[in-house]
Amino acid sequence: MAKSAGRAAVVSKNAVAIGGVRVSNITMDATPIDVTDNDSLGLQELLPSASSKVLSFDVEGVYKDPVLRDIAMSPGSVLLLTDMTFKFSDALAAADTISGLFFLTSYKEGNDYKEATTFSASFTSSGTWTLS
Amino acid sequence: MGAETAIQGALYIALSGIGLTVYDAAPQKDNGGNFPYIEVGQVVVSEFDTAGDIGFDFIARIHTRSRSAAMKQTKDIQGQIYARLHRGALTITGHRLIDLQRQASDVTRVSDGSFHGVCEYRGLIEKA
Repeated sequence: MAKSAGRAAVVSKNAVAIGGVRVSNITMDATPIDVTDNDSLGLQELLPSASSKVLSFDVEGVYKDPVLRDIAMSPGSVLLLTDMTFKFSDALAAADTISGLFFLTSYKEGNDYKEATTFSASFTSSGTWTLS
Repeated sequence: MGAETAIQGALYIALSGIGLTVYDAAPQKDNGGNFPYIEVGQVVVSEFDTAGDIGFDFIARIHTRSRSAAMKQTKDIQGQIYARLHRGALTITGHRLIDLQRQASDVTRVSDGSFHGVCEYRGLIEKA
């Protein structure tokens, strides 16, 4: 396995990379099922499967591209998106891209008068996702 | 053309409109140039990249030299530079200007009795 540069990770909407991205993060959170009881000898016991599992990712960078702003700021827009993908930085031949239903949970633009406009956005999964 | 040269050229063209001699680096001969004059001087360039684009964050240190009897001439020239550069348009070959602002301005008296003004301008550019 080889190391990879963070900039190689790509967050896309409708197969087009979100512009201006400087940082992207992806997180999997799972809530375990705790079955600890008197027979556990004081040690936590968990079932093999999670009670719930969620995948989240976020991006931040220098504002360039209105695609996420348009979704976030339009009063009637649908925030559950079907065409978001997260491609991991190591660009494997297979199993390097996450896709599924992702809800746009936050969008923020920052306007410092001495700096370029910045943005950040967060997404969280709804239902299952695929790694392909 | 690299960003350093492109920035230097754009500043030279913008400042030439003031009507004074503009140097990259003032000559040593003829007692140091045609006073009063402007030197584009040092340009410090650092990266301003994003994942998909190349950009640069630069500080341009614009010098003003005057042999007037008072600081006023230097300050007047600095005012003209400000009028041309601060939040202004700058055509930088192969790049797009995002922002350009003056950060600081100063005038000091040199030991030979002349005045030396220094203004620092910060710019953000991205590759076109």
